[in-house]
Amino acid sequence: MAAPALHVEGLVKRFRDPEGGERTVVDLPALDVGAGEAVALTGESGAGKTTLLHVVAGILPADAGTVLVGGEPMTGLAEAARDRLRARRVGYVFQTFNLLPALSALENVELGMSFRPGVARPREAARAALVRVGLADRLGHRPDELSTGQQQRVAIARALAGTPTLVLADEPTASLDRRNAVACLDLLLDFACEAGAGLLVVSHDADTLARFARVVRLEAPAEAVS
Amino acid sequence: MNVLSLAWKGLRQRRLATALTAFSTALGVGLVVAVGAVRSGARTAFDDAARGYDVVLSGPKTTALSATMNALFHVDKPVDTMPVEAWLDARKDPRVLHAVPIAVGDVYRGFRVVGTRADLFDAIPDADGRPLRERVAPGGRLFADDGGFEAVVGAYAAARTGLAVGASFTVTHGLEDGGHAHDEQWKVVGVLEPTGTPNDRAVFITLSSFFHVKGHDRPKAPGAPDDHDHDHDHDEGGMHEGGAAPDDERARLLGDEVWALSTVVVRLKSPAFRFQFAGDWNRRRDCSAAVPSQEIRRLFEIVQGVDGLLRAVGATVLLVAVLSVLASLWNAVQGRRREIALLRALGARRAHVFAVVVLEAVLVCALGGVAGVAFGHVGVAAAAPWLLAEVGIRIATGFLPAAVYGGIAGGLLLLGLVAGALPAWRAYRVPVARHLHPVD
Repeated sequence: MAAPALHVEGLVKRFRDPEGGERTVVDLPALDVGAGEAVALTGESGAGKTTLLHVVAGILPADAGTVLVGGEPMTGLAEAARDRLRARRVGYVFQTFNLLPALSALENVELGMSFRPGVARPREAARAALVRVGLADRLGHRPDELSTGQQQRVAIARALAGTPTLVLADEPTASLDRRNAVACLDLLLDFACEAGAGLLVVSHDADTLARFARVVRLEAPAEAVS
Repeated sequence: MNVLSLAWKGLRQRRLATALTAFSTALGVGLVVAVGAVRSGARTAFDDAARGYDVVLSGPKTTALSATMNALFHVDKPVDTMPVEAWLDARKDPRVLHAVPIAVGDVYRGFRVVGTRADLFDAIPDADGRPLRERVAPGGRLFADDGGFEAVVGAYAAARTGLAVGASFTVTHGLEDGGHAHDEQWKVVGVLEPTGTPNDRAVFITLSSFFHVKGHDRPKAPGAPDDHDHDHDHDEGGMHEGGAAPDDERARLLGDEVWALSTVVVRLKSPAFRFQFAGDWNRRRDCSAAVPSQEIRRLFEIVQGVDGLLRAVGATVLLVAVLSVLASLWNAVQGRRREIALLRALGARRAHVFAVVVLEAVLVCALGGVAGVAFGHVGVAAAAPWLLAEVGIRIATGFLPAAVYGGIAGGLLLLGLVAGALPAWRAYRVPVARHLHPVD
């Protein structure tokens, strides 16, 4: 049986507060996302949704617990090893797209594979991904020459072009109008499903959450550890 | 997409800052290259100009440097004269191949008029080693020693004054413009091809004709009537002091009119005799001897201080340029923390980010270096005609030895690494989660 795209168990993340104490921002007993499965993650502000994505992606180290991405442990690794695993296994879609303004749409998508070993012909893969998201005629356009909806499509193409095991999307529709939000979410769901990637989407939006068969609510930890 | 292309695109995104910092680097490199090229070219040109001039004899009060500048470069004023007998003695010295008398004291439209004998054109070669005798332009010829008022004109002087074969001209008394015009007319019988030496700037006339000019003739004995009313400064400049009475040999060789000389150019049978010959002749009371190659070396030692100063200015400009690269990148990193965080989120390691910023600094230095080398060479090429006109030396405008460019490239690589290291370290330490977007 194939490993799940994401397996989280007993995950704890704490931040040091200005007074010198520590505050628990993520305390998640368990979470699994299967290959090809789409899961929505919601919760109030301060519930630690974005921090959870950062820990899952290896951007931040966990303080306790286990995170497996495609069966490979993200927790317990040194920073450089987490970087390599993230490059190989994780695609990331941000609320504000985060495209590099100096690069064209094609180059932005190619950039997403630049640090991922073993991607054959990344330029062709980037071109195919942009064609898949409907931007075949915008390959050479820079971000400031694209609409917000088109920019988010580029970001989706960047996240999925390298066929990652897990795609993390942080409020991917929050900066878009209703029509573009629906279109981009459709695209994200379809593209992730086609690629067989697990999809974990953070959102507050009820319409967005309604598109998911499985919604996980993250509660803010009640206690602060000092 | 690799780190090099990321660095290049980052620079393109900040075109103005990149252009300005590269330009400041180019100024420093250009100055260093220009100083090096001029120094190297000038040394070569001076050495070329000294070919054939093994020893220069002059009056006893004339310094060796002044004699060299006067005889080789046709600049500077002769302080005193030397007797014709010294030239006759030099001719008889077994070590001497050619001893050519020279008399100066006039100019033609700013170009030095040199009274001499035709064997000067055998004794002295051009920059490529060919005797001047072989460098007479088609349609012309050299003058004969008894040729009367004939002239051979250097290529640059001919080009600037318009003198051509068949043209006539009069000269102005004194070694600077502003003197009175002599009445006598000379006819151009030949024009030299460009020789790449200061002789391109000279107007050669026969020695005997020089002394036929009123004011150049032998001063009258005290109490005798003066038939030339002129008020030249008789303490300097060629032919204004008394000399010994003519004897048969000098009368045969020079005519009765030649009574003193400014310098004598000596070409020896072997350059190995230079210092021995000069030493022997410096023991005489009626003249002094200079070895031009030695004087040129001394001259370069004198200007070495200026050379060093210019290099120091170039190095300072370069240092300021490197600091501006550093400051520019430091500020750029501050404004690009989100981009850096994004790169990290996409899987770039800290080393990748560090390399991108260092490469940006190296690329700016490389751009500045290429532009600076171009600036330096263009500057030298622009200065070369001026140096040719003013000093009569032809500066080579070609490339410097490959090792020089290698040194510049190595130095700029090092400066780029130094300038980029601090901003790169700042980029290296950018906290990803904080700058990716606000953490809830």
